[in-house]
Parts: sequence; C-alpha cells; structure tokens
Amino acid sequence: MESKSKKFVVIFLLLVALSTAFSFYNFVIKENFEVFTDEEAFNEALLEE
Amino acid sequence: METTVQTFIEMCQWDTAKFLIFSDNVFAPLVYYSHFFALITSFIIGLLVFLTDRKALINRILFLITTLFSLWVFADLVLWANEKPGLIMFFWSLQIIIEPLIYAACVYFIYVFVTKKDTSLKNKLSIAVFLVPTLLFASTKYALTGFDLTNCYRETGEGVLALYGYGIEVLYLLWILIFSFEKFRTQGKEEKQQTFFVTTGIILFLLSLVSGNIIGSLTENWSLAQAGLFGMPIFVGFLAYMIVRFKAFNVKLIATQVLMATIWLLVLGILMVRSIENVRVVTALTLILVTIAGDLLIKSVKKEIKQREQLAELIQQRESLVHLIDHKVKGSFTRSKYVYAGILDGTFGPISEEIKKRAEEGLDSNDAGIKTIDLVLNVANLQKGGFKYDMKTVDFREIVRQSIAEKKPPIEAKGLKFIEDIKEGNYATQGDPFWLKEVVNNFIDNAGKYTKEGSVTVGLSRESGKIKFYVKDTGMGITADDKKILFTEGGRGKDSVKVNVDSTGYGLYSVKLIVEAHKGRVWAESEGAGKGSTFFVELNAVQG
Repeated sequence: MESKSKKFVVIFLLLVALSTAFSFYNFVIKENFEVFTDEEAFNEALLEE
Repeated sequence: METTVQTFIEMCQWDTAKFLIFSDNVFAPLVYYSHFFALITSFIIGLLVFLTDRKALINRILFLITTLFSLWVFADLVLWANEKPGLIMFFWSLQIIIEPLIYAACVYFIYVFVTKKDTSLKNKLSIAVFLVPTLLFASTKYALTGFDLTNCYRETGEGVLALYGYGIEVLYLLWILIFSFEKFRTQGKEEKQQTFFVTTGIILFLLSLVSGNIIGSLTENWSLAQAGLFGMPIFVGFLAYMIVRFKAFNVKLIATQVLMATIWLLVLGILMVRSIENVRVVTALTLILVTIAGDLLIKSVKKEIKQREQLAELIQQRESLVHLIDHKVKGSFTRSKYVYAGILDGTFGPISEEIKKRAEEGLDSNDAGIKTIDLVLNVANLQKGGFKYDMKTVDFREIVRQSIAEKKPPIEAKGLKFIEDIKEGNYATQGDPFWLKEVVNNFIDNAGKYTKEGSVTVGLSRESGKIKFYVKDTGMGITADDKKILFTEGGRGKDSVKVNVDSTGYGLYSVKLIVEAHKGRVWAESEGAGKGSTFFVELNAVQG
C-alpha cells in the first residue's frame, strides 16, 4: 500500500509533464489556436466558453 | 501565420524578446526585480533544504513546491516580456496547470508536516482528483479561447477551466485551514507552534497568489497580479524562522556560500544582458543589496562555525574530566564502599548499633555516588558513540512488563496507585533490550520520585507503524521554562532537587540519546507546575 502511494505521486507528476508537453506541442509547434483580430468575434468566443 | 494576423502584430510594434524574457515589452522594471528575487530565492532555498536530506519526504515536497513556484514565476516573466502568440498561449496554459498544482502540493505538505508521516493513497487521490480536468483540457479552448489581437496587450482569452482552477485553489486553501485547525486542537504546545507557523506561512503565500490572479482576471489589471510574488518572501521568511526556531533544516556554510554566489552571478548576468538604463539601476541596486546581505550571512555562519569549534574543544576538555572521574573519584568511592561493607559484615570486629546505622547510611550514600558517576559516564559514552548497540528484533511490551514488575512494588509502597494501560498488539521493534529497558526504567522511576500522591500510569499502544510508550503521573508537573531544558545535558528542573535530592539532570538526557540512536523520538507534556506530566517515547515498529 505504501509503495502504491509513493508510485502514485510519481505517476501523477508524469501526467503533469505529459499535459505540459502536449500543450507545448499544440500551441508552440502546431500553433493550433485561434487569433482574434475582431473584438466582436473574441467576445462571442469568451461567452461560448 | 496568416497575413492579416502578421499585419496586426507588426502594427503593435512589439520588441523581440531575447532568451524568452528580456524585452522592452516589460514596461515596469519592478517586474524583473520582483520576479527574479522570488524565483531565485525560493528555488535555491528549496534545493538546499532538499540537499540536506534527500530522503526526507517533507524536504522533497518543499522542493517540489519551490520548483513549481519558480516555474510559475518564469512563465509569468515570459508572459510579461515575450511577443510570440504561440509561446504566450503555451506559458499561459502552463500557469493554468501549475498554479492549482502548487496549492495541491501545499495540502500534501501540511499533511506530512503535521502528521510527520506520508499520507494515505486515499488522501492523495482525493487531493489529485480535482486537478484531472485541468491536466486533460489545459491545451484546449476550454482553458484558453484564443490569442487576443483586438488590442496590443499580448493577452489570451481565458475559458471556463481557468475559472475552475481559481475555484479549486480556494477549495485547497480551505482544506489546509480546516485540516490544520483540527490537528492544532489535539497537539502539544511545541507541535502547536510548528503547525501554526507553517500553516500561517503557507496560507499567506497562497492567499497572496490567489488574490493577485483573481483580481487580475476580474479587473483585467494584470499589474495587480504582481502582489502575488510578495507572498513568497513572506513564506520564505516563515521558513527561515522554522530553520532557526525548530532546527527543521540544517543549512551549512558551503551551501550558504553557493546560494550567495549563485544569486550574485545571476543578478550580474541580468546586468550584462540588459541595455535599458532603468533596469540597470534596479539590478545594480539588487547587486549591492545581495553583496551586503551575503557578506552578513556568511559572517554569521562563520561565527557559528567558530563557536562550534570552541564547543568541540570544550567537549575534549570534558572528556579528560570524565576520565579523571572514572579513574580517581569512582575508585575512591569503590574503596570507601569496601570499608563500609567490611564494617557491616564484621571484618573489623563487633560494632555497636549506632556505628551499624552510620555505616549503612554511608554505604547508601556511596552507592548513590557510584550510580551518579555511572550515569554521567554512560552519557559521555552515548554522546561520542563510545559503544555499539546490540540491535535485534525485540518485544518492547516484554521490556515494559519486566520493568513494571521491578518498579511497581516500591511505587505502590509509597501509597500511589499504579495503572497499566497496555493495549494488545505486536510490539516488535529493532533495538538493544538493555538500553531500551534503561529508558523505560528511567521514566517509571522518575514518575515515582516526583509524585507525592495520586497515580502513575504506564501506557503502551501501536499506531500506524509506531510504538508509543508513555508514563503519566499526577506529580509536580513541568513549568514552561523547565520544559526547554528537560532533555538537555544537566538540564534539571528548577524545583526538582526539592523533591529528588539525587537529581542529576543526566537521566532524561541519556534517555533522549538512547531513543534517538534507535531512530525514535522522545517528548514530554504537562499543563504546568503541580498539574502532573506525561513522558512519551515513540519507536518504529517492525512490520508484521
């Protein structure tokens, strides 16, 4: 049980690293995000989410 | 990137950031000042604490918190300085991931600090489950709707996940408060102090972080988010207090010099890289402050080391004194003992009742003298590790039972009630049975000596891999002043000799040395003078 508890922290931190790596891939490498130049469209997107 | 977007970016005339974080886009030099100070100080303190004992869980968690915080601060610097939309989106999402994680790590920290052990898998799952949505959706439009180029502020639109993040931060804050408060109510005085200082430090740090960001999000005034960084020096201040007050961490001279040199070099680096005049002024000022503070810090540590060297010299002199006591004084006592024994057994011829009475008194006094010398010699040996413990798996309950069998009759003969509170269970531990019995004997003897009326309770229980032994009495109690010196060398209570003329102040100190050599801990609790006292020993149980 104790060893499972220790492993859990390591696995969780790996998940954090994975999530960060995916974010880097998505935003920096793939540039997969919307750029709002129109204020109306930007406000609409904010309201939607 | 589309041409329209490129045109908008060009219209904003943003400066191109060097090394991600150095650019003219940062309009307030205070940003660099506050960020670098918080980042470097927190990371290095976390690292030093970690390096002093890498295996200690509490040190690891503190290092995790300071590393996460440093990453958060770095991400913030990038957001202030960088002009690339992709990088801004990434570092913004990184903050959305890291920020609640810092709070969760603080909850874990407080659990381990207060209970002095790792928390259960169930508790860890309960803490972590709230972070799952953030980790899953950090790079989606639910976290960040997109890059806002309707103005030149280089901001993103925050989605529902960012608001969720702030929500769970408040939840974690309440969690820490409620947990600490619950534990605080049942703790002893010294533990209460530790819990109070650590909880206050963490709460101040987290509160300032959360308030800055929530205000930033709601008012769109991100300069206010700077306030969060002032929380870290407060936390570090409390941590420094902990280092001094409770000796929680032991930072050595080399580590201090490395710390100061690193800060100095980093600040010098900023001075070289930047060309903006006002930033130069701020960094030059920092350099001067760091130089003064570093010099003072190193001097104070050097002074402490000199004091330690003097102490080592004194210990050497004391060893010579112990040698003298062992050979000369103990020898004299032993010779006198034979003289008294000879008188009593008739070796020197028939004696009167009066002489017999006097010889018996002399023999008792002699034995007490030899006992005291043995105790002092034992302490001297325990301190310098003069002998090896015969460590093996022993049944601690059996040791307690043997001690009770010897000590109970004289205590009951004194008119005191002797209560046994020994719970069923496995009390196997790794230890030297002879010295562990000395510990148990000492506690029970003391309770008998310092209690005039009422009762003496001897208790034994096992909980979460720890064996807890206690002796509670209704005797003279311990004052707050006496408590500070109780387990120190020669640390006798102010009024202890009034009750026990043979009090040496070495008994409890030898107990502490023995228990610590068994990787256990020892402490005492008392409501004050005349209110009785309870002495505790905690040992690691052998699993099984």
